[in-house]
Amino acid sequence: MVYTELLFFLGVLPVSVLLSFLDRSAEYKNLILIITSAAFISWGKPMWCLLFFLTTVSEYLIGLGIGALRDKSRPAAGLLLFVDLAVNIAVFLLLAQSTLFSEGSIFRIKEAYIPIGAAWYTAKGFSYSFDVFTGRCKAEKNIFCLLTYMVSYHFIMAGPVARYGDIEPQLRRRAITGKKLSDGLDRFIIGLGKAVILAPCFGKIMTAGLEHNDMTLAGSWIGMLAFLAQCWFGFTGLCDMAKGLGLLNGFEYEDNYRDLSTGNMLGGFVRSANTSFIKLTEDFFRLFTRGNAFFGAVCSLIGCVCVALWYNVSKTYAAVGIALGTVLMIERLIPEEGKKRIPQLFKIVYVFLLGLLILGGLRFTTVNGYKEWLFSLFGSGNEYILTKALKQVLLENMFLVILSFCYVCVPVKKLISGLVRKIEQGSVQGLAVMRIGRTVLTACVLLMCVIELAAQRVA
Amino acid sequence: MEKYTDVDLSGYREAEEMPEECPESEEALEEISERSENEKFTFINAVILGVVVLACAAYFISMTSSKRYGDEGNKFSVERLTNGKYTAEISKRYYSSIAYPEGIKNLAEKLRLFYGLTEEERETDLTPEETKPAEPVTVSETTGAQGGHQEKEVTTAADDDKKEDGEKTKASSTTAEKYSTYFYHTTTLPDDSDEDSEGEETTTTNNDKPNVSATTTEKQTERVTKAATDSSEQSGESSESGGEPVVSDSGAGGDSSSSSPDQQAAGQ
Repeated sequence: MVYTELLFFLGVLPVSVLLSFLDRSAEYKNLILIITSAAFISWGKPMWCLLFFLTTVSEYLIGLGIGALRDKSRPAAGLLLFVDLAVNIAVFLLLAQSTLFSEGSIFRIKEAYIPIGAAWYTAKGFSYSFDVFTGRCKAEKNIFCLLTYMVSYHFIMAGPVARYGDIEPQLRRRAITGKKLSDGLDRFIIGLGKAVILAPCFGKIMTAGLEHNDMTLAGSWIGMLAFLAQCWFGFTGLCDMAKGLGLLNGFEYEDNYRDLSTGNMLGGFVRSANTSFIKLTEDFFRLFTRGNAFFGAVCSLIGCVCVALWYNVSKTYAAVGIALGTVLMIERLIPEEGKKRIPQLFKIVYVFLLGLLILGGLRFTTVNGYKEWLFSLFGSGNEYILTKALKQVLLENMFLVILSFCYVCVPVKKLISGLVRKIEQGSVQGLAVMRIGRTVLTACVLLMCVIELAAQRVA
Repeated sequence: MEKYTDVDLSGYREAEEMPEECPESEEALEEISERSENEKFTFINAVILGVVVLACAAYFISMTSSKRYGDEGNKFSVERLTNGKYTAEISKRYYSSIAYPEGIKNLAEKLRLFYGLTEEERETDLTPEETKPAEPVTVSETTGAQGGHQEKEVTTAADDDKKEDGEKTKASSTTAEKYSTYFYHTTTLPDDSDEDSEGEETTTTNNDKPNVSATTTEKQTERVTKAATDSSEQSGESSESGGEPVVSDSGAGGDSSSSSPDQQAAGQ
């Protein structure tokens, strides 16, 4: 089951939230979450895939061990941490990257049997042991709380790698208030709109621009930008949905992405997505750098490769990770003062071009494909400028493209939100119009998503 | 005997008089009022969205029947639950029970018209141009610094059927996706070696490059001439003018929704 399935958000989710209201105790709410999360993860799959819950037991025991040894013997605690890392990497390879194993191998698990969100599950598991090791949180003695943290469906898919130290108080005591319900529904529906309406729209534009035997100049640029926009809206849509689901269950945690910014060069741009996982890898490598700037830069490179491989263990992702990591490493070696002196316009152009060239590599599986696109990008080998298909798709989705631009472009977004705030603060009528208007728009987005998903199903 | 003590009220007498309306209290009142307004709208938001979600959920669940097909229903057993068949069957029944499938599909199609400029609107815009016969590309245009404009039909298909010369080719596949490419040439050179330029309809079904070459212009943006032609119009004139043949592009993907009426005509 995934977040964008009708059966989930019109079936499992309402049942889960309504059942949570029946009792105010956090224990009861946790129990409901565990049961519904088990259904979410194993829906339509054999229940044995829930065995991966068993790794929670290993996390629990290793966490207790690290907690006990942390002050007495640091190396022993470190060894336990590496054992935990090895366990999580093994689970990750087995469940999230099972295709790496050959067809006849016993480690090759059928796609249909793999539980959902295994990569996020392992990242969270390691983050818990790591936080116990660094003293960010205490070793959990109540396995029930740890289980809730590990398997809750709102943490499972592209949500932030919420650290146990931040979540632990909410696992023991939380309330589902009217504001949380309202914000949660808003956030979930916005995320749903991004994933169901915007991302596929950019997918169409990308297809028309890039998946063509005769590459065109405009197709290369627009198609690749559409590809990146598709990835961005797909990812942030899932993050928004995860955050919304968390709020509906009474949890509040940090966002997993932030507005795109060029202030901190390409490094800042990359960190604007998947913020929490990148922060986890940075924290982990900081253990080894001990403030050394050069080693810190080298660790940026290693961290980048790790994040890329975590998404997909393939040559393409490894190559993109290395390229991105190299740029980030160089950027880290530039003094902060020097970075501040660089004109903003130059930063924008630099981030735009370099981001496009490096991240664009994710779209291709062969070097030749990438090379062809690269040449086409600069006008080489292009016989034409624009295809009719691309023009047509752009026109058909023009309003969505404009809307997306306003959402992604930070100055425009700030301008619009400033105007809305001004109207809201101007008078009670203004506030009413804006708030009711937003509610109506959100409801419309929800209905559009439901119709779109239902149409896809019946098609 | 005095049973009471004197209370010194001099401090109170000397104290400044409290103003009737102090700015702090007004600010506090404003803040409380604003907060209550906000909470009111938050409540309305939660109620409306909650009701919409629950209404949709109720609608879809009410349409799902466990005995819709005259079978024995989705029988629950531990074995079926553990091997995933029970939940898979619930999903199957849930999605196959969606009411008014045609209506929902039509509604979704209509909703997509709101995403941008619709097919109908563009059709009216383009019709006069498209129905025009293709402009022949003169020598001065083809060799000069002026940009030309050609249209090329590309139909993506899984299988290519080569037919006899002069016969229109139909490429069909269940997964075929159609492209109509609208190329903006910088300059166009007429290809004299093109054997289809004798007034015959030019249709091919391979992935060869079109019989038009392009060279770099001196002033690329100076003039872009529109000469939109649909596939049915790619007759002798269009061939003479450097018009593009219908090309079946088997390697490309795409979205079928991007096919325009003229492409559909080409496919029929």
